Amino acid sequence: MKEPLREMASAVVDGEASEFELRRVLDGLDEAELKSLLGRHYAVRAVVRHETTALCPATVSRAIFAALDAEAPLASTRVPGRRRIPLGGLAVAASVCMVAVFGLRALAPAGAGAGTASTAGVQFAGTPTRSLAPLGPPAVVVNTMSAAAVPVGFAPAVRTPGAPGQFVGADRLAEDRLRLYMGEHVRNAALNTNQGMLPYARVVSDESR
Amino acid sequence: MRSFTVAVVLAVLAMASPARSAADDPAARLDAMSRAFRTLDYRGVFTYEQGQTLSSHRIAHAVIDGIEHERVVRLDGEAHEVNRGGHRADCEHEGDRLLRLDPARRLAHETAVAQRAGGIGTYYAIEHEGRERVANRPGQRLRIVPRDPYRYGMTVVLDDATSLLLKSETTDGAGRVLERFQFVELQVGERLPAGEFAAGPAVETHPLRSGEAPFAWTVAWLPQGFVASGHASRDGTEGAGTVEIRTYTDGLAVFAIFVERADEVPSGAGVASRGATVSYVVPRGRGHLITVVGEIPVESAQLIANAVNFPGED
Repeated sequence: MKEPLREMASAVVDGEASEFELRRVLDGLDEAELKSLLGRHYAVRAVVRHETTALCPATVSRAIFAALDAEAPLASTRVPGRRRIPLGGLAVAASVCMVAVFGLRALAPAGAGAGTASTAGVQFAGTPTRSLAPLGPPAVVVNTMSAAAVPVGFAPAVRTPGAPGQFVGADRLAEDRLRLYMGEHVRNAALNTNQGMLPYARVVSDESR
Repeated sequence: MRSFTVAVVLAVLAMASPARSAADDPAARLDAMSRAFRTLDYRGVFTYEQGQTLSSHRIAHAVIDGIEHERVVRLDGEAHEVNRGGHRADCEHEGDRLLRLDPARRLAHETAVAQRAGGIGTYYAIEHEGRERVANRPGQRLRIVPRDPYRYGMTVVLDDATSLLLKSETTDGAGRVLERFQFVELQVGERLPAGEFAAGPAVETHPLRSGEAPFAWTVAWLPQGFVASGHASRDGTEGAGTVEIRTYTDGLAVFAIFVERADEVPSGAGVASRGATVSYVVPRGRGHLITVVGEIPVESAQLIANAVNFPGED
């Protein structure tokens, strides 16, 4: 696979892809190599965001972050209140998680595997996420451990609710629009999804309305 | 004599196989479920779970003079209820059409290479997954697995006697349960009086009507299998201006694209989610805000929202 496509895949995972890049990655989804790369990117993103309950057993991810805590940071400057994860540590975390991911995938039925890549890292607005210090300019660090070679040079989109930045405002807007449009969506869903009373359960159970 | 025996065996097989396949075909069971929840009279209590919250609800549903009436009341936390009435029980929607799997249609989309909206079997693998007892009723468990990463999967339990949905779990590609719906008590067939549905204002059951399109926009990409199920516009509320809405379904999942003009738009995209429902907002064109809301992965919502274009403004 060509390097530009790899970079585009990273940008898609980071939520920073242009329309062209999105289209290009989308068109390439038939390639097993690209699918696999996206799967690895999302798995790594899930690790650093603590969204790893299904991909990595809790004990594994706890062990990963314990190991990261014990490791000295690469850079000497430290942003107060934020946590820096060294790139090398991230590679270790990724490779450990990969073992879990590939292990689970081997057990999963063929039909279920396709969705893994795209859904592992759903961001829940309002859910505290692990804060990472900026990773700096993109650098490609290839993990040479035996599990798999995992490029970790892509910078995960760091979105910390409560911290200043455009993402936070946009997330708040998304939350506002979800509240505003949920009723309309549910009425449409009730007529078109064949999920019975489930759409109404979604809206009636919503205490924020 | 021998040919007569063969003929008898073939005749018996011919008569027996359609009945057997209808009962065993998981897609046919889903089809039956889609009719059951609209045409039967039932009342019960169900729970709904998403994230860390679990809520319980009472539901009553009846068809009175061919018209559907439904009332869902939340039993804990903040009081909240939904009343739905005035909808004909035999009204068929786009989602029904996609779910309907008569043999001719099935053959057509099995042989077509790339048919748009071929039915949910084209985009989901549906299989039996044993049996499960829910609300003291025996049921059949079905697993619905998406064939691509653009939609979520589901596990459902359908009532043996009525095909009503007894339980459902919406799962992401990693198998995590995003939301869970489950009856804890259910009575079917008891006649419910019209007075049961009188309380509270009824929501309009056909809220989306074709109308004028205030914004000239197109969407360049949708996940395969999603077809338009509605188009409407309305004046905004709570700070939003005029909103144009287009809705899409693949027969199981549903999402809507909301387009509005905003005085101030964020410079980047934003995401929120609740259970399986995601909301993705992104500025597009000149001062337009696009919101995609639906039970789809956030990556799908992102691709769809970024595919909205305003040709006259480029």
